[in-house]
Amino acid sequence: MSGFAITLIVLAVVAGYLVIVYNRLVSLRNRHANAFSQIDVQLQRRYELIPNLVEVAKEYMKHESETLTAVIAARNNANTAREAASQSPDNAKKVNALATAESQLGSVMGGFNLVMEDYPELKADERMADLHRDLTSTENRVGFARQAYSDAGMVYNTECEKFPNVLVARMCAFQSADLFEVDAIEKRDAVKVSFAKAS
Amino acid sequence: MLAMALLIVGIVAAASLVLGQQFSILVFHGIALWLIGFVWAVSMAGALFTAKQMRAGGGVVARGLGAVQASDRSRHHTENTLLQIVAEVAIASHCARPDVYVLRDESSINSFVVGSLNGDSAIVVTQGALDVLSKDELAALVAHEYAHIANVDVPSNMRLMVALGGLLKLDQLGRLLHSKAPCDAKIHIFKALGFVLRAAGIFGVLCSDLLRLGISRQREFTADEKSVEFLRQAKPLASALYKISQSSDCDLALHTPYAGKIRHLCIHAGNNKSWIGFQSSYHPPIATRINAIDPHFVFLADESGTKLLPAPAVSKINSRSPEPKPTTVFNEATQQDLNDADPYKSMVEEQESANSAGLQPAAIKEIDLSDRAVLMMQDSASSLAAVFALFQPNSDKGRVGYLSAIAFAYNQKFSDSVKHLGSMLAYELAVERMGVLRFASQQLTQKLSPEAKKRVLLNLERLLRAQGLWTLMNYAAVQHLRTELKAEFPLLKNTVAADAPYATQRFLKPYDQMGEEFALLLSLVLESTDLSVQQIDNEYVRLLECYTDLAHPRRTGKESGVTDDLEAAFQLLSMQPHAIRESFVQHCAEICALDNCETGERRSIMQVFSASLGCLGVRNTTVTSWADVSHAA
Repeated sequence: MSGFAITLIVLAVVAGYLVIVYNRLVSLRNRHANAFSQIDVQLQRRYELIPNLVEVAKEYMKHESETLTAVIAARNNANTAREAASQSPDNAKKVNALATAESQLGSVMGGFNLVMEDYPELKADERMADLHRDLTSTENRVGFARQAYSDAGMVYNTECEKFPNVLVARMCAFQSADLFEVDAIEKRDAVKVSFAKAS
Repeated sequence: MLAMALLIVGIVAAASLVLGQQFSILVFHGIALWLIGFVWAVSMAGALFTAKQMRAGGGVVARGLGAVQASDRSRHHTENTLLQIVAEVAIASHCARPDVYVLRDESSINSFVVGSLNGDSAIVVTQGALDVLSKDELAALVAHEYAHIANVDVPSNMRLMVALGGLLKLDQLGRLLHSKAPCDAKIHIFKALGFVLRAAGIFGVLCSDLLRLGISRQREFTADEKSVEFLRQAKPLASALYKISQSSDCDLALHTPYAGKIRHLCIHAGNNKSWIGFQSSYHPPIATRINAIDPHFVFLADESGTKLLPAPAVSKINSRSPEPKPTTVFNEATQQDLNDADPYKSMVEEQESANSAGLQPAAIKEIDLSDRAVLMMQDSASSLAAVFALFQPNSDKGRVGYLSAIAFAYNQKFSDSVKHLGSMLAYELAVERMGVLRFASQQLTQKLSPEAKKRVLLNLERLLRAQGLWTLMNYAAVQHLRTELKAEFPLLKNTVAADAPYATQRFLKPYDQMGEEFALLLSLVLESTDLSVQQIDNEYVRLLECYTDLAHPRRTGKESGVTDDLEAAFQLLSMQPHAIRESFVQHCAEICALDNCETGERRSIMQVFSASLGCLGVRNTTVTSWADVSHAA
């Protein structure tokens, strides 16, 4: 067998290996992107629940229109930020804006919960209890989605930095995932809808 | 495959033996081949039948096992919570959300995942788990099942189930053929075939059991680990496993008739004794699993959100860490020790609390007990052994009988422990009875449940009665133990509860009407001394005059039915005003001093006796000898 044939076989094996590595990196990158969309989905779910919550609260909190308006405004603000961030998840500025909006919504919701303490009938309302359960569950889901996003980013980055994957990553312009968006989101207080008395 | 190959060789060998032909692995005779073909065909048909059932998906398999799909519209709101949890963990585990089913008639705490061979899964949770576990624990349980899905355990588990289905069909057909054979026919083709099929089925099931044993043990560890990874916390899973181990039916995986088929899938496979007699479990012991995921696991009984168990049957826990909160630490090694050493393993509930986490310095100061004894009575098992050793008779013969009675009533190990403590703490048991009794009861009082305390006392009482050791002093010591353990007199407790304002009055007999009781107690106290019969008679008459003008005949402990009278008399006395009790105790001390052998041992017994009557202690008697008394009289 001539040397040319051997070289050809070696090149074919190397090319095959590079293709496998490339495919793996692509699937991990997509998984990472999908993980962000999971956070997005859960945030959206939460923002859809908040107006329902306010609707129910309106029936009981007739003299608290200021608080309710603030909740709705903060929710709308956060939702807009979410839409902007989901369109370009790589844009750090937009993700940071979402984190800030989330933080504001969190503090407004905290105030809402405090006010709600004065309305025992509202707390006893079955619809309110259901909404509260849903909101708590959504909170958990957002948490898990963030965790999954963080995991996916870490796995993707590790794979990109491994040798010889790093060669493929550089060659094909695989950029390492930035985890700073998650860090920014983590910094804000989670919206806590709690019927327990604030201590 | 190896099992099936062995099976084939076995059938060939058996067939050759029956036909009287020479057996060879290489050359199969016609009839053996037919038999092999038949067994193979039945097994394959059974497996295909099971596989067809499974192909429909996890939901169909779950329904086949009697489960009902969980619904958010269900009147059971726990199912709604379960659905939410399943949706939450699906995100954490990157898995598609499976169908969720509930075994509503199942009271045990368990869960498992079933699916088709192509991975269409369904999570099944028992109603017991929904009722008992908190939300976090339920999430841990669900995450464990997700871990099985993520680890691709489901298809291989299902393959095992398919193979098992085929083998069980062999057994079923064997039974059917056996029953169809005429009863009078000794050798019948149906009988022979049925026998072969059943033998093949049982052998196959055994092999598959071994296979399941090998596979699922490691898988459980991996799934536990992954579950913790999903939820980022180990405690809920450890707590859920702990609750499973505490449930009254933890030996059973499930109550459903299909339990045998799916036990290896469950989070807790139960413990069963297989038909060949060895203890087999598909999963590692729960304590090992808890230790693997959280070596420092501490069960907080009052943890918020933790529901109470309906009836914890067995608590086999030992303390390990000096946590400041009410805690119970699960540790396999110490658990084993306790189970071996403690006959009351079914009743000892070591609910470690701040007071029992270590020694109690304040309490120890009050107790006059040597350091050696304190060190040897560190746990409930040794404290219990010390209590039993306290009552062992002095004579060698009596001691042997007493120890063998303990061995018979409980176990040899506990009897050995009593013997060991009896010899090691001989001095303390004789001279520091009060200290031993108090320290042991302090150790036991927080670790035994009220029911367990009653049982301990009842068992001790029965043992002493059966051994003829139910003397006044032993009776008093048991009563004192009862008081120390805060287990009230059964008789008085009931009466006092019934009509509290009048009970005390009714039991308060006028001083002069208590002659009979005093007479009996005096007789027994006198008997316990080493005085001669003449001296006892004299002393009896002299002391009885202090209590009553009426002459009551002296009684002995050998009379039949005297023990019942003794109990009544003692209880009556213990209800009397303090002054009466005090004077009685003082008289008893005098009596003991009379025989001129007021040893430390005797004084120790009297201490317990006076304490049992709620008196502080025995004052120093001025009487020094019998001669002095006679002279004074």
